[in-house]
This record gives sequence, structure tokens and C-alpha cells, in this order.
Amino acid sequence: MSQNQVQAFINRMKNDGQFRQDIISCTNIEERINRCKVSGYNISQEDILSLMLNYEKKHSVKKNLPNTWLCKGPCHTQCTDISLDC
Amino acid sequence: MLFWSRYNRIIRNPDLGYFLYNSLSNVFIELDECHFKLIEQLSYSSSVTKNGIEPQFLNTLLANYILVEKDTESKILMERHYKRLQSCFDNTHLFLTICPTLRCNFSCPYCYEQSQESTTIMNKETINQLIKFIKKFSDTKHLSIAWYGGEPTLAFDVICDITKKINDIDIIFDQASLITNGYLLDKKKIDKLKSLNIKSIQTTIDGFEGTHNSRRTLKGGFPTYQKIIDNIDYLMNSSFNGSCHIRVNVDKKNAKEYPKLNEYLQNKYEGSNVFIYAGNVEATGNQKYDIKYTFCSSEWSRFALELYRGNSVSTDGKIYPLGNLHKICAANTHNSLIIGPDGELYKCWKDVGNVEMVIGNIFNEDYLVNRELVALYNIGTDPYLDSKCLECYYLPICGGGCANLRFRSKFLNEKGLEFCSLYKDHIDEYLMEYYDEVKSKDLCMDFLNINHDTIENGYRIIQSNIETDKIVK
Repeated sequence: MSQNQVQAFINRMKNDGQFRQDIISCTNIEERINRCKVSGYNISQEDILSLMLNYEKKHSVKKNLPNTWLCKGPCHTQCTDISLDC
Repeated sequence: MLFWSRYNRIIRNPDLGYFLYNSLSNVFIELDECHFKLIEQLSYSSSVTKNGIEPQFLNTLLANYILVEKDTESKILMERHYKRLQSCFDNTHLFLTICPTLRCNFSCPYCYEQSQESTTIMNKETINQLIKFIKKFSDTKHLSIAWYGGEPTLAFDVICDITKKINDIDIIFDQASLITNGYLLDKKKIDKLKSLNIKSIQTTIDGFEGTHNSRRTLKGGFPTYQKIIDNIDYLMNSSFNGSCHIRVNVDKKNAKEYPKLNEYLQNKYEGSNVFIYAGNVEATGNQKYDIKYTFCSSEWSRFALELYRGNSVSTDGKIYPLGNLHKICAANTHNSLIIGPDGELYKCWKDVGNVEMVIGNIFNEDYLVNRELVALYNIGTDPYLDSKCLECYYLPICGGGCANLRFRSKFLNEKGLEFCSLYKDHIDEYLMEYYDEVKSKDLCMDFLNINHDTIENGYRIIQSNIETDKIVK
């Protein structure tokens, strides 16, 4: 399944409480996948895992999109995040 | 006695819930209604007593500077200012941006440099003086170089010559980067990158072939897209093991094309060290370019949000603020200098070729001539010395913005320059967008029966910059 379709499925889970409840209340992943198929989403466990890992990857990028607004030089590819060590 | 931090921000979103954000600690907390009401009450109080706040929650509020003692915030800012100054005046590293020539083979309409017609190429005498100049920094242990221009590949022999001479100096040459339009970065040059210690390349593609070729042409209007792509292909399949950053200069003309281009380039270079990112085209008053096509800050903010929403995987970066941001660059760092082909010195990349912005010359015994200009850049643009910035809620996640824009606004009285952080007017949107993705990730984890933090105990920290146990007193 394409990433956009998986995203559409997650968006419906987010916005449709009843649908989310129907899916999550299933006792195991296999049953959830079957329930998804009944609802028109031909989703695999790998699809969901892949989307989850994509979120993690996206959140772990060291750059900051709003900050590129002001920068010209190559350092804007890795804005400095100096962690507190106090 | 405890006080409600002035860096707190309460967000009540009808669709997403209740939140608390603190820009000083950069912590983002999700709350249930009960904890939200408690937080609201605290925010109304002139001073806070610990009574009635459950110990664990209180600990979280203290650890993340939500509740602070008198003067705590000003002391933290002072410490950050000190660290910033430490970085600005560090003399163990020398960062040189060297322009072997200011000449360029391109004629991009939006270019901010003023000397592309110059034919000067750094000569032997200047190269030798440059080496003597580097040797003067006797306390300096490390050297980093950015090759810049003009187009530095037009003077590639100079790069080779200088590198060879630097290798004979008693200094640790950490690395070099090359800022190039990519057109002349052919096989012969790519095969030399490793020996030149060049570990990072920045090049520019402004769109798919048609768009790119309408903007980034050779002088004379000849297309450049395919040759640049061929060169990047060869680069990433060569023995070069550094990174390649593809900048896409985005304005209203090519913004719609960018997400697809990003996706195309990401797929093309999947698995290799290529990073694609959007950079805004700045209005420079260049007569070849109509400034109506540039984004203002709020337009860029919207563009950044849409971009983030649209790409499930993006190398552009995340939108959650970077905490404790110092935002220093060559302009405000003492041991960072930009060197022109005649040995002239500048403080900012944007000043290259502008004689009024020359701060000195490597041929001078005392290389700094215009100390006033250096002071204005180093000290005059320090946000911690600006009363408005010091009072600003966003300073900890802004860091003061672009030194060049601050300088021009403050000391050259240029009007309409926007140097404040985009977070200033859009923090709620960015935080909610970020939360929405966290929620999506949670749902994926729920689906897969993977445990994750929940709001079951009344609150959860969604994002934190602090190791809590280190600062609880």
C-alpha cells in the first residue's frame, strides 16, 4: 500500500473515534488488519511500521525548517542546538 | 517563593486538547482537563505555593522552569549569554571562508553578490600571504575552510595550491566544504575532493529541468540542469564519502514544484549522503529580479508548514523549535573570516565584493583595519545586549536571527528587514502540527501493540530538551 494510503488510514483513526475504537479493540494485530480490510484499507503490519519509523526519522533530523528562513551559509543545514548541561 | 514563568504558554485547542509550552526549557507538555485547570490557576497567581500540587507534577514544573524562583530566568539567560560569548570568542578554531575568485559563470537573477564581473583570481603572492596569515593564529589548533566565491571551481587550481600549503602547516585541518553551482564539478575535480579534505558540498538545483534552466543559466543563457545532475550522480558514485547538500532557492515562482522535486531527488539519491532543503530567496534589490516573487516571513512560515505536512519523510528539517539556540555564525565569531581573492577580509558571506564592508586585509601587519565594523557585527548584533530581544518570549528559541539583517536594520537603518524568528507569530501552529504527528505515531504504535507514553496520569511530556534529574534542586 502506498504511504499516502497508510497516512489516510491513520488520519481516519485520528478523526473518527468510533473507527479507531473498532480497530484498536481487536485483540491482536492480525485481527486489526482483517478489520481494516473490511473497511477498505488493505494495510499490512509492515505498512504501519514503516510509517511509524518515518515519523521517528523525520523527528530525528537535526535541522530546523523554520530556521532556514534566515540563513544563507552551509551551517543552516544543521542549526546549532546546544543542550543545557546545568 | 515560586513564580509562574514568563516563558510559559498555555494552548487550548478544541480539536487536539490542552498543552503547556515553555520557550526557556523548550518543553512541551500535554495535559488533561484537570491539570489544565490547575495550570490556568497557577498562571493567574502572582506567586505560587507548592501546596495542592502533586509532588511528581510539581517536580516536572520545577524541572522545566514552568515554576521558577525569583531571578532564575535572568540567571539562566546570563549563563546562556556567557556560553554564547565563549563560542563567539573561542580561539582554538579558525574558520575561514576563502573566495579564490569572485567571478561566476552563472547569471542567477536573484544573486546578492556584487562582483561577479570581477576577473580576479587569487594570485601566488596572495596565496603565500594567506599561509603566513594562518600561521599568525598561533593559539589556534584547528582549521576549517569553506570554499566560496563567486564560483570557486573557476579557480580550482588555487584551492589545490592552498590546500597543499596548509597541509605543511602545524595545524589540524579538520575539514573543508565547497559551495558551488555544480556546473564545473566534473570527474577530474571530484576525484580530487578527498585529497583536498573536502567533506561537504553545497550545490543548488532550483526546480525540474525547465524551471531550473529558466533561473540558473550560464552567462549567455545556456542551460545547466543536466550537467549539474550528471556531476552530482558522479559525485555520489565516486570515492567521495562526504555529504552533498542540494539547496533549492525557493520563491513564489517555484514553490509549488519544490515538494515533487524534493521527492524526486530523495528517491534518486536514496541511501547516499545527499540532503535536499529549501532556502528562501532574499530580496536584494537586484534589478534582474522582481522582489514581488520573494516570500515574506508569514508566507515562508505557511510554506514550511505545508511542506512539513506534505512530506512523510523530509530532509528539510523538523518544525519543533531548537532550544537554547545560540545562532552564531561567521559574522559574530571572532575567529571566523571571509577572505576575498585580493586578501581582503569580510565578516559576512553577504558582504563579499562590497568594498564598504571590508574589515581588513591579510597583507596588513595588523589584519583588522575596520575594528568598528567588526565590533558592530560581533557585539552590536548580540541579542542579549538588545533590550527588546532580552524581553522577548522567543529569544531562547530564536537566538537573535541573522546577524547581517540585524546589522543592516540597526546600523544602516534599512527598512523592512525581517530577522525575527518565524516562531514569533506562528508558535501555536508549529506546536500543534508537531503534536498532530506525535498523535499519528502514537496510533501506529497502538496498532502495533507498542507501548508509549500516554496522558493517563494527567499529563505527559511530549518533547523536552532537559535531562530532568540533573536540574531538580
